[in-house]
Amino acid sequence: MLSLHQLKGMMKMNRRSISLLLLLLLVVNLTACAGKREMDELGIVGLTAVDWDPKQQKYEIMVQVIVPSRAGGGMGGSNIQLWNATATGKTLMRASKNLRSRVSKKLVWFHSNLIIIGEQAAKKGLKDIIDFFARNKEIRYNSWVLISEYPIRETLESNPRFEGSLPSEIQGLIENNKTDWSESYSINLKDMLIRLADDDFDEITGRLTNHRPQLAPEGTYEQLDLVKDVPVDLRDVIALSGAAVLKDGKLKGWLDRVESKGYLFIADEIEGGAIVEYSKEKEKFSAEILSNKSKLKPEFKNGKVSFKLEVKTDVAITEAITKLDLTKSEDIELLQKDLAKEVKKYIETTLKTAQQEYNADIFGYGNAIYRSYPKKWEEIKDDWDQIFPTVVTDIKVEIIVKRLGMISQPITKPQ
Amino acid sequence: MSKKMKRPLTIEEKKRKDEEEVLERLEEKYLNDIDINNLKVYSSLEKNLVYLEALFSKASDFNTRKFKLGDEEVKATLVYVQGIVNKGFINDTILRELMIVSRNQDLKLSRSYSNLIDLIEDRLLTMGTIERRDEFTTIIDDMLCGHAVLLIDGYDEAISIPIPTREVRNVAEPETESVVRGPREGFVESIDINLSLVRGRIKTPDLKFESFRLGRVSKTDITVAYIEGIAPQDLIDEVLNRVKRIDIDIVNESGIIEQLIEDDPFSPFPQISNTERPDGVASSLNEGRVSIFVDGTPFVLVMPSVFVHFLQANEDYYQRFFFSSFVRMLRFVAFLVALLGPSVYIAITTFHQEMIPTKLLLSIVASRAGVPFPALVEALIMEIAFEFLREAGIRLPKTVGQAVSIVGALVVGEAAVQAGLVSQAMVIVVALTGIASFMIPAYSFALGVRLIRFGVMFLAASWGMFGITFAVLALLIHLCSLRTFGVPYLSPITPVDWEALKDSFIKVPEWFKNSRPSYLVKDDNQRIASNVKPSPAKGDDEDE
Repeated sequence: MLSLHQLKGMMKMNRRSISLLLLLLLVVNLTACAGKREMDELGIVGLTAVDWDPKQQKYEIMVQVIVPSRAGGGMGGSNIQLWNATATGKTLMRASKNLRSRVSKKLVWFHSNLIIIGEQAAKKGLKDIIDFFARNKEIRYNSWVLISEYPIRETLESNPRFEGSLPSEIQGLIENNKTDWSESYSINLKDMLIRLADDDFDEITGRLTNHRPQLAPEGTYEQLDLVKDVPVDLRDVIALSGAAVLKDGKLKGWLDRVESKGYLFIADEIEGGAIVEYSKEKEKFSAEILSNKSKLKPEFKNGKVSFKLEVKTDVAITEAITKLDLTKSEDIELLQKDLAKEVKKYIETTLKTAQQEYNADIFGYGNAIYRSYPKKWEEIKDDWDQIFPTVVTDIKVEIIVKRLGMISQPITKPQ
Repeated sequence: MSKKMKRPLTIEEKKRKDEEEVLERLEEKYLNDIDINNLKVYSSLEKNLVYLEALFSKASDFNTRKFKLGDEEVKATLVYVQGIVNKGFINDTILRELMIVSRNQDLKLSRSYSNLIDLIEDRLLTMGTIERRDEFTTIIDDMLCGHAVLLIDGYDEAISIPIPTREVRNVAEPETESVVRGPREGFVESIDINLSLVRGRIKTPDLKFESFRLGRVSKTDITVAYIEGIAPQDLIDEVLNRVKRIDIDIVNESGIIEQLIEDDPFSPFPQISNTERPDGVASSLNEGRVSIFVDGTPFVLVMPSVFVHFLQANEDYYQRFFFSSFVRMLRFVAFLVALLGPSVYIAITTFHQEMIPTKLLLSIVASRAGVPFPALVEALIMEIAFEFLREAGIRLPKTVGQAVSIVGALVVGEAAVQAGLVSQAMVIVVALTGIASFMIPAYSFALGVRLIRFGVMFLAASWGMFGITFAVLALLIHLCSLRTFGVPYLSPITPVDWEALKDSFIKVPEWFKNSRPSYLVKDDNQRIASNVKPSPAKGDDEDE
């Protein structure tokens, strides 16, 4: 009897659970695959460029869309077609919507990791532009923001030499600069946003320029024929060199390679790979930086603010044409002093350019004062623009030669 | 007419009358729906034979052998079912003893027996076991299980001699669970051999075999095996209870028992494992689990079986522990891949393209370019085609099976991609999923995973990662609530049992596995003596 009762209970429960299951299945249908995007409907935006047309008073937005094709036989990323599009509009959103009238694919931005801003737009001001990008959920905050000295149209049409597409080519340049070259400095959207939001912290980011290849083109050229009519080997390629300095989001000017290196020393952003070189009389040296540690400290003396910069660098000698005996510690010390002088020179040049020429606090001096002396900062905050160019920085550079390379003694003496 | 009636009955007429009486009684029993077998044996041999012949009419393998017993020439008959009894025994032993040796007996001695049946039991039949029966129920059951039954005129008792025989496959390597290292013997279809294989591995009187018959028609031998003192008594009682509750007509395979005693028949996950390997059963019994042997199948049930048991193979215990642990973790990964592989692919490619690294995205898009179906349909086509192939490969004769897999690989794999019907990425995902599901050692468990996969695919296509999360959560909730013979299905993970976790996703070295899993064994937990960790002999260097 009990079992019969239980059986009835089970049947009831089953009916209930089955109807619940059916209801759940209905819910699945009701969603109608909301938010679904099939992959082949996508136009994947690889990079976005923005410029300002002063004549029309309109923004111009340019995108490079990556359209993979199956022609070459399926998987294999090399078969990429690039498609450039441009549109203008009073606002950036209008411009980007105008783009859509020309595209059959659904444009998606989540793989765009590059925002290139033209010189005109940068001069007009970055704040409007960054506001648009930072607000958009499809844009990654780790997208690089670069400023192009070179006309944007031609930037987009230039030839990626190694990678299949321009975005990955530029990405590669940035990565390479970080670890192996250190003569430029790029920041991403997040850092740009932070700096723009802070009135006393000015912006610096990488500068895109062009470069005419000197050697005969290689195989990679032939795959892409983006610009009509121009023979492939006459086209420029993109290069990253130096940095753009902005004040309050407006482009002030450029830092050249040496100044950029100096900036990296001050900002403690050297990851290695940078070189220090000097020649004195007939001696010649170059050294590669292994590791670097910079310390920036504000000090107040007689109500005047000054900065103390301590740079500690380990280097490896890469070239040495000298009479010095590199196995002797006195000689090495001499060499270290000379190298330190050289580094100091880089830093001084950079400081001079930023303070005198552009009056842009790209080093975060103001922030450093605020962190160490918040009360005093409140007093001088309003006059910071006047104070900054006059701030004196006491630079101490200590260089330690860690390695001499595979050979310790020079094989040639200066003649 | 009336004159004829008074005439004494001839032998033939008497026989006919007997027959009529028995048949009448049979008919009456039939009509009243009473168990016709619930009859006592008659003292008249003729009546007994009529009855049996009526029961076994049209059964051509039913055989009666009439003969005369002893000097007194008592009528006797040996009845048996041909084919399932050992003919050699009947011819050379039983009939010989009864027909020839019985004549040469010193009958003076034998006369001291008032009962001929006692005499036969004590002095004539040289068989290991014989049983005396006085009910037709048992006699008929015996005959159908390979006994020869001796009926003697004038006695309402019969002697049942068990001489069953049956064609049995040799003990061979199990086909479903092969090993590189480990015993190569597997169970066969005979329950006696199967029990002996286990008994040979566990030589203790505590190993109990409780046997009974199940199935109204099949009368299949079932044996519940356990080690007394290790397996908890309540578990044994519960298993016996559940098995004895079964009332079914035929039990052909242990799977039928499994379906009738499992805890949750609607769960996609099996709660009872099956194995073809005696070593597996032996070690399970030693872990305090109970197994059920069913005659006629090499698959032995082992219960309770929890989640981790289905991801373990016997060989894990025989290989060194580093590799065993590695393989076990791989299996867990394979379980996840088999469960979620296509769904994650669908979810990511239709909802979360931003999760894929750009270059990978580009190559996936490139491979999908021109495919006319949405990802879900594409995945369904491939998955179903794969299931076709798999099922066809199993059911077909082995020689044809190979041809199927070649055609399948060429047509479905190569041509479909060439024709642009499916993308290469999808082929890779489906193939990977298929291989991953082969990684799961327990076939019954893999079947569940294969099935759930389709449900998750639909959820993934409707809701993306959210749908997958939903499915995984639902599965987790189900697994947490699932119980098998009182043991939580997710033990030893939850409720956590650190000691038993040593033998779950990893397998610690034998010397470190101190106790039997406590979620199974309550009392006798000690597994290995302490301080058995191997080390080089101590003191050799110091002595010199």
